[in-house]
Amino acid sequence: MAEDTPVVGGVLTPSREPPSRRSPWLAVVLIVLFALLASLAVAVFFLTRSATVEWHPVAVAPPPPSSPDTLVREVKQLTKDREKFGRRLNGRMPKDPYILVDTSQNRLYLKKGTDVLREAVCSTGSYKLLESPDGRRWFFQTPRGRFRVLGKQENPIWIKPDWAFIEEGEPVPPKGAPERYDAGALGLYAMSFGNGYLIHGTLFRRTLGMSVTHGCVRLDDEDLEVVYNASRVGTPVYIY
Amino acid sequence: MRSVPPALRTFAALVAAAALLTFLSAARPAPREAPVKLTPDSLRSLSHRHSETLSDLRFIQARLALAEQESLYLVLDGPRKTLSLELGGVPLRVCALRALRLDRQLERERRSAAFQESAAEPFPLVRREGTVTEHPPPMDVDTTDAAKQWREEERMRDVRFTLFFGRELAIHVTTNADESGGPTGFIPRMKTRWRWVRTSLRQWTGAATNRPEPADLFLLMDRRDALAIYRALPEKTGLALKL
Repeated sequence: MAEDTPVVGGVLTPSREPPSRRSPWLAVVLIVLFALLASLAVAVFFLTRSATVEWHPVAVAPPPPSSPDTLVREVKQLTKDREKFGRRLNGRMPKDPYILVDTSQNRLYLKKGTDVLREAVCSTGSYKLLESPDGRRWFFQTPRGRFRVLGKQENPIWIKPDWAFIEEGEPVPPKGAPERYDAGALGLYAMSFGNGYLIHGTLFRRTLGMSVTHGCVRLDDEDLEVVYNASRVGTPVYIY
Repeated sequence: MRSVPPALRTFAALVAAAALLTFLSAARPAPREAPVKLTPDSLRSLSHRHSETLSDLRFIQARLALAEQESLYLVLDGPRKTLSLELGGVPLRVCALRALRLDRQLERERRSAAFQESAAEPFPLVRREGTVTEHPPPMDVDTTDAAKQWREEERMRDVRFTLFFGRELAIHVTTNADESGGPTGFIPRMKTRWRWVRTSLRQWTGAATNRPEPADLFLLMDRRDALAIYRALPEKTGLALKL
């Protein structure tokens, strides 16, 4: 029984002071305050927590529970498959030396497996567009992809195509005309890799390392000799 | 009737015995291997090996599938932190990544067995966006000023691009360390976070959906590597991914 409840003549009478009643406004204020704090917490969480995480090794979900025998058998089979497919993938790597051309940095690599046998500064396609008065167009880009050395030639003679004359603003001579034959322009050696594209020497050594050619790959004499001697007809040429 | 010589009889008996023995040994069931008993630790280690081997296998299978095609493709190896440009199974350029970050959705997803399984299938490139031109500006051999300008433009170029792959995977490449942690703009940052909240809620409430959520990878790499990769990639190509 409450101590402040007076007992008059054995009858309980209510206290003279009414029980305290909280104002409903207080609850509203509290709720709003709580909502504000919660919003603030969420905002802080959103703004401070990084949306990304640095890569780190993680444990991948284990295989579904099975008997140890099954697990052992599966691991054996997976290992065997991994070796089999790994061998198949490694088998795609050329066994003999191959040529790799990086057109973005104008570098040529003579490689065997993953070993670099020779690194050379080269020149590749200029990405220049040439248009002839009769509407023909040439885009001087070194082609990208996988090719093979299709032919090798010492002291090559350049048979000038039409664009060589159009570029110089000269009249285009007929096919087989003596003006079309230019000895010495391609250096001492040339290796063709299809569609008229060659790996050859240059008279313009100062432009090595720059994208200035009509699509061929130019090297200086020393590098060209090494690459020429190390390659044969069929040597893979990778260009990117 | 002539009697059979004893030597021939002995030989015939030996052949018959050998045949009988062979038949009997073949007919007898092979001895059963004793069931493997493993401690909890070795069972855990075996499970781990299972997952690792499976992940390696799927990665190799994806690379092989891409190697069959006659075009350049990408290989992203998370554990080695490398992005490689390959052709026909031959790595042409292996680029070391200065940072590799994942959004939280992908971070969670990559632990699942389903993700590991799906890695056997290469991710096809759908489109790409970037600040890099497809080719370097054309250059005239005889104009030295043009050459200087070209070099200057290349040097000043802000190299940043995004490769969008099928199955809702996007790879954001930057050469600026400040941006390596993901999008720096307020709106894209909020979008990334909102996506993370949405997927978290979806998982929490068990609301399954067939639509895959987009996943983002953020790579910080050398400027030259980024330029070379962007310019070398053909329109139709794919990605082998190991995370």
